[in-house]
Amino acid sequence: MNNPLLVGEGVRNLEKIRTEKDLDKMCEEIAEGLSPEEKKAFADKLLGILLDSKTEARLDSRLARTILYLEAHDMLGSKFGVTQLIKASMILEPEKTIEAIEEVSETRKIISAPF
Amino acid sequence: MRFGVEFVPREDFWKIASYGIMAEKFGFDSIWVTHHFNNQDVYIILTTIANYTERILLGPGVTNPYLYNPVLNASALLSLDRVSGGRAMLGIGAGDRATLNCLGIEMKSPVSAVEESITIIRRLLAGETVSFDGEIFKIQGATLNIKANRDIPIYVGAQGPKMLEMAGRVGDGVLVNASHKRDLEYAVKQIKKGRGNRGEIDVSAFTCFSVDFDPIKARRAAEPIVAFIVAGSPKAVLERHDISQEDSETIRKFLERRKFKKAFESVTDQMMDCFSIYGTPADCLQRIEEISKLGVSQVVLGSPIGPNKKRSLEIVRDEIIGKVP
Repeated sequence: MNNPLLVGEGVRNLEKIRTEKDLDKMCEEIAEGLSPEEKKAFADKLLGILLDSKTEARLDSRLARTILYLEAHDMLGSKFGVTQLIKASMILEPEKTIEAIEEVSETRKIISAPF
Repeated sequence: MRFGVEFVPREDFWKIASYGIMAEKFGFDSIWVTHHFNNQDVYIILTTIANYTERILLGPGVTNPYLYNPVLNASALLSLDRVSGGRAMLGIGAGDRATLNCLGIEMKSPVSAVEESITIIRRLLAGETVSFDGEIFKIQGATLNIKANRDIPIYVGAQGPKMLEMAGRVGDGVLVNASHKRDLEYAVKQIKKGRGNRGEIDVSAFTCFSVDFDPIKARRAAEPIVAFIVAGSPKAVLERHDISQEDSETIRKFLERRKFKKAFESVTDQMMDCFSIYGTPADCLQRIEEISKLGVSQVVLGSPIGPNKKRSLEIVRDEIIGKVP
């Protein structure tokens, strides 16, 4: 079920990330809060962030290969796919990723806000 | 018209593999990965792409007889064909003088070196024990323990008249480093001279390519590549396009002194038109349609592809592939 609160919760928890477990939890919360269409669009945006990245940071080979597998099987837009993409883009481009997450969170608020 | 795409294995392996997955999903027919010692190994990157794709053909674009002995190329090609489920191709040419120079490798008799390599590779892949006494290669009783399951197509990377003619004589296909009508007409003529009555040969235009909805961004992305092409072009090619030796020399000197901004600013519109296909999707489509009437059956989109590779691949998918008969 789509829950805009979960995306927002994930954004608010960004500052509290200390361990990989925290990061995994945050990524899952964000992915959980998106509709299938939103997940697909968000996944595409995150893939773009990853591919454009010119940072010195390096992506763990296993995570990279997981993402490639998901891409090859059209699964980047799944909950697991989005989680892996958020994880990867937080490693390479944390600021751009946070911006992208906040953007999708704002969009959800706009969509779910009463007129 | 079929479409191939070139990747340079300088970026992280996973980025190239991701573009490779996109290329397959977007309808490209082939992937060619460049081969220079200072980038990631061509066959390792090709194998990585093969592991995440199912149908797209893949091969070095191009390797050369100096960096990898033909025996090694045969072995690597065979391995790639096995791993990919029968999708390997070979692109082989004379190599890049600048890169080979710094290894102290002399590019001796490039036409003979490429032709001899092709002969040796074909015989090894066919399961023969090869003894070969050529001008460049001397081999005594070399054999591969595994035989190829099929005839792996061999494309020759060619630009000059003798290489083009040899390509026509012995290749299954030719990767012509050109995009302009004048160069391609010349190339097709030379290839046919070598081909004689041997039947069809696949002629591919392998070109610097840059597409974007913003034509200025598309041009800016391609300027560096065109600068290097102009700086390194032989006299005959420059003359064919009325480009002065002096202008080429100016750019070459800027590049040598690493004054890249000045070099790229020296690239004229004429140079851009001669050595690349660039601009909006409509601009690029028009150029490709012109090429399709010259006996070219495939266009390989070479670097940079566009100012943003992912977006440019998407543009090609939506606006170009399938639009040229």
